[in-house]
Order: sequence, then C-alpha cells, then structure tokens
Amino acid sequence: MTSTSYPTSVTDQELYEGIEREDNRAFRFLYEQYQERIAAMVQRNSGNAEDASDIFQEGVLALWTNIHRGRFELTDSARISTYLYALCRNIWISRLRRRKPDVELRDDLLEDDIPDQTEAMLETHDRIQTIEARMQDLNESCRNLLNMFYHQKTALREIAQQLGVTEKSAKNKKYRCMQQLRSLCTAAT
Amino acid sequence: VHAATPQPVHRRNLVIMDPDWIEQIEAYLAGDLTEPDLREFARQQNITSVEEDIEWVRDAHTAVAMAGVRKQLNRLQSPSSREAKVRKMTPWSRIMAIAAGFLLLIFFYVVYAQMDGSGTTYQTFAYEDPGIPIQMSQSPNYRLFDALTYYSEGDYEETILQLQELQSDLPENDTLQYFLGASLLYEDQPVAARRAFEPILNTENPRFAERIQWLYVLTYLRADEPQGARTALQPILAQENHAFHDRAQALTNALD
Repeated sequence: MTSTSYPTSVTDQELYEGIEREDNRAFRFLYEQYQERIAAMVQRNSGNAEDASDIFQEGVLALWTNIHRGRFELTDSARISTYLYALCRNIWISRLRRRKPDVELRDDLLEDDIPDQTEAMLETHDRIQTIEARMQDLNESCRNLLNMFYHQKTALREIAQQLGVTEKSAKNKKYRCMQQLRSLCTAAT
Repeated sequence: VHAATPQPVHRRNLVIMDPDWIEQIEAYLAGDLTEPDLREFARQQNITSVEEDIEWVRDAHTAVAMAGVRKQLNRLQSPSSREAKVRKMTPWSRIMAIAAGFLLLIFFYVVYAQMDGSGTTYQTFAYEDPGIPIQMSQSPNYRLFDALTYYSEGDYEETILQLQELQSDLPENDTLQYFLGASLLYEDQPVAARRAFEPILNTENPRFAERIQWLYVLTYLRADEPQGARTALQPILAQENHAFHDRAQALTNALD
C-alpha cells in the first residue's frame, strides 16, 4: 500500500492546493492536525463528541467551499489553521444559539480575533449548504446525474453511455434536474 | 427554440428556470459565452433576474460538488476513528504510543534498508487516488460501479478482476482504464499498469487527466526505470499549473 498521509511539515500552500483538488491526504491532514483542538473547543462549550465531529466537518467543508470558489486567499497572515478554527467556532456559536437562545458562551468562544474573511466565507457556505440540503429532495437519478456532471466532471459522452441514452438526452435531463432543484430551493424559501 | 413568454415563469410561487436559460448561464460561466451575449439572450426572453440566476447556478454547481466532498469526508471518518479523535490520551498511553511508533519506524527502516533505492523513492512520491463516490448501482453499467466500490474499499485485487472482465464490453471507457491502471500499480504490477494507462494518457476528462500523468510516472518508479520516469515527467514539468508540478520537480531533483 502507498503512503496516505501528508508529512507534518506540509506548507499552507500545499494544503490549500490539496484541499482544492479534494485530495484525501489533505483532508486527513486537517483531521489529524486540527480536529482535536476544535473538539476541545466545542466540548468546553456545551457540546458533545458528536457535535464536535459535525462542527469540524462543517468547518472543513466551509473551507473547501471558499477555496473552490476562489473566495479564500492565502496570505502571510491568513493561515489555514486560523481560518479553520474561526469557521468552526462561528458555526458552533450559531448552532448553539439556535439550540439554546439563552446559552451563556465562555470567553474563549467570544475572542475578538475573528479573521477578516470569516464572515463572508460563512455566508457563502450557508448559501451553498442550503442548496445542498434541497438536493436530498431530488430523485436519486437526478442526484447521480448532477454529481457525475458537476462533481466528477465526467464527460457528457461517458454519462450518456452509462445511462444508455444519447448525449442530447443526457444533457436535457441534466438541465431538467437543475430546473427541478431551483424550484425546490425557491419553494423552501 | 425558446418560449416567447416572459421568463422566469412564476407558477404556484415557484420560480421555474428555463433549461435554455440555465444552459446559457453555464456557457457564460464556462467562458464560452460573453456577458453581452448572455444579457442579450436575457433581454430577448424578458429575464430580469440575471445576476440572481447566475449566482444561483454558480452556487448550485458548488452545492453538487460539496455533497460529493461531504461523502468523501464521511468515508474518511469511520465511527471508531471519530471516537478516537476526540478522546484525550492519558500521558502513559501517549508514551506507549510514541514507543510503539518508534519501534515501527525502526522496523520499516530495517525493511527499507534491504530494498533498492527506487522502492523508497516510489514510497516518497506515491499517490493513492481515493476513487470516486459510488452511487450508480442501479445504472445499466452497475458492474463498473460495483468494481469501483471494491476500488474505493482498497480491494485492488478484486477491482482488477472485475475491470478486466468488463474491458471487452467497455473498450473505450476512460474511467475503467484509469482505475484498472491505478489498481495494477497499487498491486505492484507497474508494467501492466502502464499498458492500461497508455490508451488514455491524453484523455480530456478533467478528473483524470493530471492524475494519469503522475501515476504513469510512478509506474516507471515502481519498475525501477528512472530514465523512463524522467521522460514521463516532462509533460508535467512543462505545465506550471499542473496539480503535480511541484512533486514532479521534487522527483526530478531526487532522481538527479
């Protein structure tokens, strides 16, 4: 078997590129290096192990979303670990306040050092997460088709071959699925 | 043919985006349509929500991809590993873990010291593709997706058997060829892996294009053919924005 982990000395640039291309080793690195710290933060602030795990995953997805969309710029002062922590902290505060509106937050959760891009990054992530949630209301065939086309970047020719239809039919079906998704999103608001 | 009626159509409070309009937006996002052309199309169709619709299509693309990444992360985190990650280790168990890790390191050092240099270089630059989300078990090509399930579980031996059986049915399928080549490489059959990769080295499938080139280099490393690896590195080194460019550079230095 080949090695599946990044070395501990990975640079932020390498990590950024790894996350951008959805490299499992980059994600594993994030879990190995930072999950414990985030879990401690959540568990110190009224959360349990399951909350900690969910918040960390959501933070990683928020980071990926913004890297994927070109909304997160890596600079000397913008370290991935700092942003991941800030994203997780804000997601947890938001979830905690929804769950218990009168909850008293500990000082470490209210530190006034939220990096500049955090709020905008969360806003983008929330918007996209809402659409992702609506995708669950699509039928399986639509979800598969959209996934192949927009995530796996499978060529239309290959998708058509797999579905046993013409390229034109596959393309039409894809647009109908998108149309359906838009309707579901609109209906939910 | 586009409907002459104004878009978007409001029906029972739902905004129905016309598929043609979605297609135009996607062409614009892909750089195949200029903004003036997109706006002209919108004008002809009486579409007034141009910015909103562009943003929604862009978000929807990301949302679909995010669902895939979420599944990828879920696979990375088995229930047992989740618990392990949040459990604080006691100082004593931490010392034991470090000691065990140290002994393992010595063991691997002794093993590798008996191997040739290329084996170590291969391990240093190895890349393991995690596979793709498997969701198509109901499709006509369920056998391909069954095989890829074995792949994503790391059962490369079974993957090879299944994909080889499918080759005659799907002779020009680049997904099949790619995962067959990767499985052969991970099963230490580098020459066979190279043969599987060669027909698709110039694939336009963006999911595989760059990875194939890197795995192709690794087939030479695995087979202890540094000269072949140097030659195979050239297309990667020629593209500065290639995902494996930095690793290719590092490997070139290591080979020198």
